[in-house]
Amino acid sequence: MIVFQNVTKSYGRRVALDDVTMTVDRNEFIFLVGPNGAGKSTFLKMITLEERPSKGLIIVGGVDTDTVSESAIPAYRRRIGMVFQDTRLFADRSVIENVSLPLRITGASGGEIRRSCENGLRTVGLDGFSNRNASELSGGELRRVAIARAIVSKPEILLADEPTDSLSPSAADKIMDLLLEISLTGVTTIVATHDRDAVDRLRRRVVRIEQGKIASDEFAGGFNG
Amino acid sequence: MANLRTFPYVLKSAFGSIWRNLEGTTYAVLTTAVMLLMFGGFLVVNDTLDRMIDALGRRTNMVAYLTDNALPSDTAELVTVLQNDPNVGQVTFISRDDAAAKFRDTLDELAEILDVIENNPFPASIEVRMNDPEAILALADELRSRTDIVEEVLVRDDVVSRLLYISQLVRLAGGVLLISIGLVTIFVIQNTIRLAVFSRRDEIEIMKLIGATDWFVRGPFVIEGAIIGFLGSAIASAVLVTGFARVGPRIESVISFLPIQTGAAFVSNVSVFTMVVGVLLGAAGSYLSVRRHLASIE
Repeated sequence: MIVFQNVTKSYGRRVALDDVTMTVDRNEFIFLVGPNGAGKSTFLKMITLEERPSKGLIIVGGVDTDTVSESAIPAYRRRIGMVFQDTRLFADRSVIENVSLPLRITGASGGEIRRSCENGLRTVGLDGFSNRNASELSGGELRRVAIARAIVSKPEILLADEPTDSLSPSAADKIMDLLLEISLTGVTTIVATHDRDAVDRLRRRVVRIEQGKIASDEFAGGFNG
Repeated sequence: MANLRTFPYVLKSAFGSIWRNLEGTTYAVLTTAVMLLMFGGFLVVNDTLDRMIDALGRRTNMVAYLTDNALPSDTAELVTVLQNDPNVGQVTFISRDDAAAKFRDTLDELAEILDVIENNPFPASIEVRMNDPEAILALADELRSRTDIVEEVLVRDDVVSRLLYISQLVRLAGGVLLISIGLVTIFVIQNTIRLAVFSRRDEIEIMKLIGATDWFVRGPFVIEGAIIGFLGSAIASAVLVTGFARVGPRIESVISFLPIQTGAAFVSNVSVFTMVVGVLLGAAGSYLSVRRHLASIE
């Protein structure tokens, strides 16, 4: 479960999040929508502890993030899978090298890495792609690899920042369906997106942020609430 | 345990980075080699000068002239005390009769003087040769304080002072030069690694975001720096050993009057030390470079 209670984040005089209070239940799937600069990315960064709130309380999986020290951040982040807007894959490395990274940093054994990566790639529909170089893949395939990397270490929470950005409508649909499928396996999933079609089609909880405030929060809502 | 299991990956990343940045690494290795060659070369020169000064110092001695009424037991005790002093190399007691005999032997034409003098005018003395010339003045003062048996202590103060001055000057200059070379080496490696860090800044950021520890992020860079230091110092050591094999015997023949080692074992020790310093400086330079970058993104 993720709890934001009266959370404000300011950068000097600019307020990125303004007194935000909301709860995301365990295993819930939500869309975070809103215009550019509304505070969606800041919201996600608060969860990953890339940013700390200026005011308010954030609880992630029962942990008050204020109590997470700098040295404890790596262990904290391993509980969260992150799909970045620009995938942030290593283009000069193979699919398996990219996907296995979260396991390698924990010192997982070779067998464990191989099994988990095979499962992850099967989940995202990229069986047999292990040894392909990331630079050879299409945009949709790269997103799938990024998702596989995010889920390979079986995180409790999955955060996706614009996961369908620059994809064709059909590729975008497949990515959103995949994220929803993953959330149904018991992963709390937050997807920040501009993808109106996906939001309208999947009919999940939609939280709209505008100018740092929660403008609307509707279950089974559409892109415009 | 997790750190041990991640080590092969960290090592592989380090070699991968070296391979990707081969040109920069080669430049850093060669620059480090030049720096460490100066470092190792200066160690050899400094050590040789030090040994020369020590050898000259060991040739200096002092003489403590004893009072005529010094008891044999007190004299024997003083000789024992001096013999047990680690700074002292050799102690020789010269009795009054021995002194007179020595005078006769060395100054044969003046020996008749002794025949006309009723009493032996020579005092008994203790000649002291030092192991550590730096301790000679303090020991002389100590002996002078033994007024019960010591009449006078003769030390060639000017020679000792000059030797000590040169010795300290050489050590000071050597220390300053070695520290400077060390700092320049760190600087060169730090900049090379900074370039590697810059070219892999995205990778570092991703690693941090997915939960990599600082050790995991720093590890490849620190190993990369250590490898640069190792390769640079290996080249420097090879040049040192080869060069000294040619020059060493000539130096020994020129200063054969002094017991100075310029053998292979001595240069090998300097080479090993240079390599250890190279690895440590390389690792330290990298560590500082990555630490600064990590501090800037956290």
